[in-house]
Amino acid sequence: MNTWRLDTWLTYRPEDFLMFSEPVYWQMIQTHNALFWPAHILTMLAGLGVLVVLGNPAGFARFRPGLLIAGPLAASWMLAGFGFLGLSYASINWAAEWLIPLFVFQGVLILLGRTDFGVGVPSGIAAVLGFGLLAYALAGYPLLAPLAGRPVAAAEVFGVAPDPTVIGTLGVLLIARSSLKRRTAPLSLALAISIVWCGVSWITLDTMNTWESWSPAVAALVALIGWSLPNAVSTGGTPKASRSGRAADRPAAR
Amino acid sequence: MTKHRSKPVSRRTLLAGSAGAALTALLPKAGWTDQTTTPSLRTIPSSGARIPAVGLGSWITFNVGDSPVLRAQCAEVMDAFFKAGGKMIDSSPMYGSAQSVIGDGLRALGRTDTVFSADKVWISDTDDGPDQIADSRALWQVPKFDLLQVHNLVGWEGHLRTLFEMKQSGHLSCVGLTTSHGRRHQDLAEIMAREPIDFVQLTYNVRDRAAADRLLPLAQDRGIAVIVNRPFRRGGLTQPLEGQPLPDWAGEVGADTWAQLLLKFILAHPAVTTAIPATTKPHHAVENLAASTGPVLDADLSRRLISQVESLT
Ligand SMILES: NC(=O)c1ccc[n+]([C@@H]2O[C@H](COP(=O)([O-])OP(=O)(O)OC[C@H]3O[C@@H](n4cnc5c(N)ncnc54)[C@H](OP(=O)(O)O)[C@@H]3O)[C@@H](O)[C@H]2O)c1
Repeated sequence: MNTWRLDTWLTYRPEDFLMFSEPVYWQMIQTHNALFWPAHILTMLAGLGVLVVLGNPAGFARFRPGLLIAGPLAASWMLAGFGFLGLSYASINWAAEWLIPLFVFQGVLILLGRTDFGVGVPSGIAAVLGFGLLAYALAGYPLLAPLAGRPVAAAEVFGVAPDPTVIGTLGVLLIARSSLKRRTAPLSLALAISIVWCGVSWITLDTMNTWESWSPAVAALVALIGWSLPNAVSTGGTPKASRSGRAADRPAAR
Repeated sequence: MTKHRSKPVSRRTLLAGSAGAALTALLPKAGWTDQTTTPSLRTIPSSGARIPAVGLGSWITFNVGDSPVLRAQCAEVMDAFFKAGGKMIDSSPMYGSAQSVIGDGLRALGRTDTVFSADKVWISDTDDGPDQIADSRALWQVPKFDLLQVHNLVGWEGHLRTLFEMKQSGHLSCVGLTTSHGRRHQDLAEIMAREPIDFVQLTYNVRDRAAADRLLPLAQDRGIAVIVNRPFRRGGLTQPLEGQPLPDWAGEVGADTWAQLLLKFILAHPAVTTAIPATTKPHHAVENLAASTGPVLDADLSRRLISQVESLT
């Protein structure tokens, strides 16, 4: 008699794995916010800083723009991993602990791929989609809680909660990719990890029957579309080169 | 896996906490405090001990994390449950923070001796079973478990050995196994036929009746007590029935609500020892316990209930 049986596993549905109720989930986020306040101000400022550097990498050429982008982004993943997953989410979902290594790995990956960020002036549709995602993660996502009738204290903020952090990262990856000649391995892997989280979040929110479940799903879809578009650089876009790009990936300097 | 150790909540904290106080203020309005009917008792065949025919589940409802407000609300449910004569609470290391919520509630309410503690072992490496059981016991804050069940038959052979040893050495009263959603009935039947277990836990309700084919008669034959989980299909039965008129015969069997009728259906099976609905509401805990009193459904009423519920859900 086997303990593990495929025919038994096939009878399971997502709701069989959801171990908390919707009010408890939102309450957990509110409690987490109280625990980390006022770190939100710093993480939001860090996110805005990333946005500014991405918009004008040449203006930050003296300060290694790749690191200025990758540093705060990697730190946000670490904070969301150890802080949100480890300290708060794990209190209602033991499986959250299993995902901490993924968040740490993503942080390290982003740091390793730092030279792929801020390489040139973003251009093309991928960049537009990327800026849209990043702006949504920073300014739009925190509004979902009050829009859904939950207190502002339960808002999900970039760098503190995983969903806006991941959606913001998708934006950053699209922007970075728009100014590179080809899709690099660290960025592709970072995109894949972000998409995996969007999937996890979408299934969780959808199983709880919350209308916000569209948010990670649409963000992942937008990112995949942007990622698969032909590269603006290789198809005649004219991004400016910065000093931080690797020779192989940098667009030709004008 | 998270070992959920939160700061213990004292009774004073619970009752002084804003939600605790608010909820306490609401309780008399809900009317459950007036209900004094003692629940009917059923016998555990292997020991002869008697327990109330309705217990309390904790999947999802008691997994509320660290929020003191929500933990206080769970304690209010437990308080109402015990005051109405309830005893068995069922949990598992799989249920997130539920074990520590129960443990803190029991201690704050002074009910560590009243409770019939039914927990589970749920870990695939059976060598780790004793450690998991020790962690669970620390979270429940009880001197020993009344019942430990192998959750969903995971590693059942190794875990049963551990549990039988614990029972023999006096560190455990009863041994059991669980399944749900109609899964692995064949495997469970084989184990029931040959292992000296005290309890099985399975799903049986108005819509999920497969257990009545083989497992319930087998339990009766073998003298195994039966705990029924998912009596309301995790709300999938109670929600659509909300607001629907009760059958005109409901009063004859002493049922005031659909939930009570659904429980009466389960308890009508002679093999069933106890049903363990989960709830977030103190008045539901009381209402559920009250369903064990009064007449049980006869075969004809059971059939009529099945067809009515099938047409409405
Ligand atoms: N494999 C296993 O070992 C296994 C599997 C499944 C379940 N279980 C055990 O069985 C327990 C019960 O199963 P379950 O939690 O899945 O679901 P359940 O008890 O069938 O249903 C729980 C739902 O019923 C509602 N409810 C409870 N009393 C009510 C009443 N009087 N009137 C109206 N609605 C009422 C609750 O809502 P309110 O909060 O609004 O009252 C809750 O949403 C679990 O908690 C767990 O302990 C074990």
